Amino acid sequence: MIPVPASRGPKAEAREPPVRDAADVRPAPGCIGRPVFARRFVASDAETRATSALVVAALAGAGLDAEELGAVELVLVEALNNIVEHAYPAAGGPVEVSVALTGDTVVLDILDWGCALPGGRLPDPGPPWPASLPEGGFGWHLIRCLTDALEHVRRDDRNRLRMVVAVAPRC
Amino acid sequence: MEVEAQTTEAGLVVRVLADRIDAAAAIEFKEAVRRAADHPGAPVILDLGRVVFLDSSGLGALVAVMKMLGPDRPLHLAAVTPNVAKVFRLTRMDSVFVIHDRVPVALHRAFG
Repeated sequence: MIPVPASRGPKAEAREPPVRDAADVRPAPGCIGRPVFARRFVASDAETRATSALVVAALAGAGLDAEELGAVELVLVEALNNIVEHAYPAAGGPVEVSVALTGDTVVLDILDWGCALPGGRLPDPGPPWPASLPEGGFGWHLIRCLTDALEHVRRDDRNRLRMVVAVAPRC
Repeated sequence: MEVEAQTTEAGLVVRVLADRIDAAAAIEFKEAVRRAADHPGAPVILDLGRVVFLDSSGLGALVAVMKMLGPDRPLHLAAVTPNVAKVFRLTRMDSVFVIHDRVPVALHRAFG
């Protein structure tokens, strides 16, 4: 059972129970394309690294080239970094990553049961000013640069982020 | 994280022996470079030839290293791989670092 602080609001009774075991992990409802990867884990920097390695291996097997793999890996890692840092700031919580391929896109769906995004919307901060020597704030900018579609849905206590990355058409 | 430091005519070359500078590695990376560059003096040339993945945390760590070295001790980056170069370009942080295609044998005076 995932502990949910009482402060999560009046909708708490309506929330969906989080998926509990690996057998339940499947592409999110409404997922498009051919599923190539699904994994559930507890958010941490180490799991971000492990999951991105598995996703890259699965997509390399599907024929993506090094540049495409680099873009997918970067947006996935940035999204998972955000979950580790902001959705679950106190301790790790559950995350599900599923990846599907259409003919010319990679579709990444990431679910978490952590904090909502500030203002309930996808941040669009633009790049930080280089001359200010920023040590952070690059994540959403990189995600926006490298994705062709980006969607966030907060339903009850769950965030679903969908990122679509265009790749060379393949059969 | 392991790094290997070597004093050359161009400066102190610090070779990163890991393939990723990411959130899991950022703190260790900063600490390893700080130790390697312990004695003041020569410019620091960070050889990133083995690094194939850099995320926003790793980029932040590079900026932190640059600040730690201070304005009088420039940080140069060398042998940057394509996916890492893309992160610098997309964030425009390639305007902040001096980036060399390969590890320089000597630095022009203009680079400090």
